[in-house]
Amino acid sequence: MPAEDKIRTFENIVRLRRAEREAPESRDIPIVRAWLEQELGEIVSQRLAARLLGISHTGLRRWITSGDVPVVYGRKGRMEVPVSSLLEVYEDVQAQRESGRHHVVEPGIAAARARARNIRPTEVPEDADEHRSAEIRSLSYHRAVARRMRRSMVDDARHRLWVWRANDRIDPRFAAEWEQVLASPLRDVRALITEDSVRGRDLRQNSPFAGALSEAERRAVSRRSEA
Amino acid sequence: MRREDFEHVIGAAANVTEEDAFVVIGSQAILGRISEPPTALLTSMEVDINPRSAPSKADLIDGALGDGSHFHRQLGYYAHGVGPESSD
Repeated sequence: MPAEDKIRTFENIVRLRRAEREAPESRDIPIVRAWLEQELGEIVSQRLAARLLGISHTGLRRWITSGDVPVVYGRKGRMEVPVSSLLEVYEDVQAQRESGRHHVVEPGIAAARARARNIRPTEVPEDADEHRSAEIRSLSYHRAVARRMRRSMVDDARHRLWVWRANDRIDPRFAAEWEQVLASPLRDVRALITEDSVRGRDLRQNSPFAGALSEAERRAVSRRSEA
Repeated sequence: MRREDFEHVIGAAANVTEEDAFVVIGSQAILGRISEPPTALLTSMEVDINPRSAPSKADLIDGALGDGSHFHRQLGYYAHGVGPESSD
């Protein structure tokens, strides 16, 4: 896809994200947005990301190094920017520019790091095998999600679930269970996602709360749980 | 997980760990052998892998490609780095 078409596609993704917030019950909007993200390749080059954010390539590299902009390995082995993360950074940048600030991302990452320092991880017993360790890390992750849970986070998780379901990314049984969980009042969602039971563990292995924590928070959960 | 997703996970794990040989554990291992697996396998989002010559690097896989990661969030699949004892 030519660069200009990619930019137009991204601008439409931004519009749909806005519409999603205004109409959180619409199943069609997140599914169409995800389809456009797939058209864009789901992960974009650093060059395109810099252009979309309106910054230099050097500036983007600085944000990647500081952790403001996450990167993942794409199918061709290059470190590229996931569209969903780029979208969040783009919205932060736009909001801060509109408020007249020039240091457009740092406040967001500073807040995430402060939250990471406050995470209280669950300790992994020394004799826990790998699967139990992974279960405990996941439980710790979801406890951190539960502590700062807002309705908007649940809406995002529902939208991700609908997209996974539409793309056969999740077992229909777990999708149906998650749908029930996410339709519950917030205090029940918090309790259900942190339930240390077989059901809770099965659900967390297929959790639409992926990406709900910043990378700094997620790494704090893992690192400290294993200490 | 589709075959191309499986290949992406293995390629990304190779980049993260700088290793080129992995043991795939569990049902997803079939994706390494056949291109059109049973539909039931497509709905699993996790693949358990172990870097054959450097088991201690499994943590790097969890960090970069594990559940809850940006990789998982964007793509809907993830890797779980496991030790060699998981294949016993």
